[in-house]
Formats: sequence, C-alpha cells, structure tokens
Amino acid sequence: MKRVIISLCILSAMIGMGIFFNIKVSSECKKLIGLVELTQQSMDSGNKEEAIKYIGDFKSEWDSFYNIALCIVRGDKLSEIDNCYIRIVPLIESNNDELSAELSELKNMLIRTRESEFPTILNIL
Amino acid sequence: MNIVLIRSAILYITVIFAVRLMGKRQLGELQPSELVITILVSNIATLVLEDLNIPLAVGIAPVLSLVCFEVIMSWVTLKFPKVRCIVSGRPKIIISDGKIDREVMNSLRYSVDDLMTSLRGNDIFSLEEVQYAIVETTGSLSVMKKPAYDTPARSDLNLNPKAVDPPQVIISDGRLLEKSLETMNLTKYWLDRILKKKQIKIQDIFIMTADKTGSYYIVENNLKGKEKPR
Repeated sequence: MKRVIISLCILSAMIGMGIFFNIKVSSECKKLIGLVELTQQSMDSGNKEEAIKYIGDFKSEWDSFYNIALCIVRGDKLSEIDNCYIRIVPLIESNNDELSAELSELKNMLIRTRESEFPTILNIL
Repeated sequence: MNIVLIRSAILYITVIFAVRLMGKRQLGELQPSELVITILVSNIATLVLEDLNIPLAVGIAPVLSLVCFEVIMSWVTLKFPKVRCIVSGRPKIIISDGKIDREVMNSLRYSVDDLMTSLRGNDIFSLEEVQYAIVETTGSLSVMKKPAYDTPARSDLNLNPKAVDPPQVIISDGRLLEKSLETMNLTKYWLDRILKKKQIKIQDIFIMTADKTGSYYIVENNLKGKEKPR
C-alpha cells in the first residue's frame, strides 16, 4: 500500500509540474511572439530604433526563459531559435530585405515550441 | 564528458529507485506487463544517456510514470480478480490426469517441441511421468509427476523429522549481525562460548551461520585469502 501511495504522489507531482511548465512555456512564448510582432511592426513603419529596442527586450526575455526551457524543451530546438535571433540583429541594423522572412521564421518557431508542449491529440500521436 | 557522467549517475539512481519501487515481486518471475515495463525502462534510460539534447526531466518522467502505473495496476489486479484475468490472463491446464489437452495447446500456440522443452526444463524426459502440467501466466510450465516417478518425501517413509527454519548468517565478513542472532533466539553469550571453544575471534570469521537449535557452521577468514570451513 505504501508503494501505491508513493506512486500516486509521484504521478501527482509530475502532473503538477507538467501543468506548471505548460503554462510557463505558453505565457513566455506568447510574450516573445508579441515582441517579435512589435519588432516587425516597427520595421514596417520605418522605426529602426524602436525595432532594436524591442529585439533587445526579446533578448533579455529569451535569456531568462532559456534556462527554464532547457529543463523541458529539446536543446536543439532552443539552439535553432537562438541562431534565428542572432541573424536578426544585423539584419535590422543593415535594413536587409530578408529581415521579414527571418522574423516570420522566428515567430513560427516560437509558435511551434508553444504548441508542442500542449497535450493535444495530434501532439500525442 | 562531465555532463554525461552526471546524467548517468542521476539516471542510475532513478532506475534503481524505480526498480525498488516496483518491489521484489517483479525481480523474480515476471508477468508479461512487468517484463514490458522492465524492457521499456531500460530503453528509455538509454535514450536519455545517448542524446544530450533530451532534457533529463523529460527522460526521467516516462521511467517514473511507467513504474508508477505498474505499481498501481498491480494493486488494482490484487483487489479485482477480473482485472487480473484481463491483464495477466489465467494459468491453463495443459496436462491433466496424464492426458494432454490438445485444445489448450492450440489456444496457447504451444507446439510439441515447446512442451518437451519445458518438460526437460523441469528435469522430465518422458511424458509418461507427468500427472499434471499447467502453463502459468508467465509462460513457464509447472509440473506434477505421477507418484510412481516422484521423489518420495519423508512422510511417505513414515519419517517425522522436526521442522526447523533454515540457518541464517550471523557473522558476515568479520561483522556480527545482531538482528540475525536475535531472530535465531541465540544470545551473545552463546556466541562468545562457541568462539572461545574454537579459539577464534569475530573478525577472523568470514561467514558463520546458525539455526534455532544452536547448530552452527563457520568459514574462517584466512589472511592468505582462502576461506577454511570449521
């Protein structure tokens, strides 16, 4: 009976942690997607300084999220997002045409990361 | 390299904990579900060790959850026999009154070769010796021989020896196991008397066993590395 109780406690703890990390990843990804969208909007309206500010906010938000995300998200997925972000900063500064595509790619990766943590039927299958 | 080492240590502790959580029952004859869990746990642990991209928590979670499910299922099958039948199946009688049940053999997909192999595993080389055989849920075959071929027991020879519990180790590698001594209803005084008679110290004994009747057996710890029985 002791083993059954321990098993139930472990399962409950894991379910609790799973729900916590789901909510955390979802809210952080939502914030980061918002910052990417703001960066895109700023570049579209020609406000380069504002875009650099938003991408700076993205960086600090991403850095704090990265350490938590490492516990639950695959390292290679996070590295891809990191690499994508690194390419964006020089593109903003040089006002490159590829910036829009890179921002869309970054946004897409964040959306996929957020969606992949939710226990939907498609994710389970 | 160090990361792999630390992850290995953590996974090792987790797997040991998981196996201990499953309990001693699982380390002996395994039911089909238990065998599946054991194999799965080892494979999952390997994945996490090989691929550093997989977070440790994501690797440990399936190991612990599978084991927890198994423990809970074991409890459920204990409480509800019908669930036990569904999960583990029922033992099937394959030989009864010396006669083979062909229908049961076909339902189990048990061939003649399988039957003979299992009988030989039970030290039976002739079908005529078998009175009763049952295929357990683990897949093993339990056999009862016909009385004519069975080893006679003491009761068959009208011998009534006294039932005694088996001896226990009371000294192991030079250390006294006081709990074992208590279990055998023996005292330190009794032990000291024996050791004085044999002119030997506890530290010089590799193994000493004793039973409740006071019979003992000593294997001395020879300093040159060879154990000598006394």
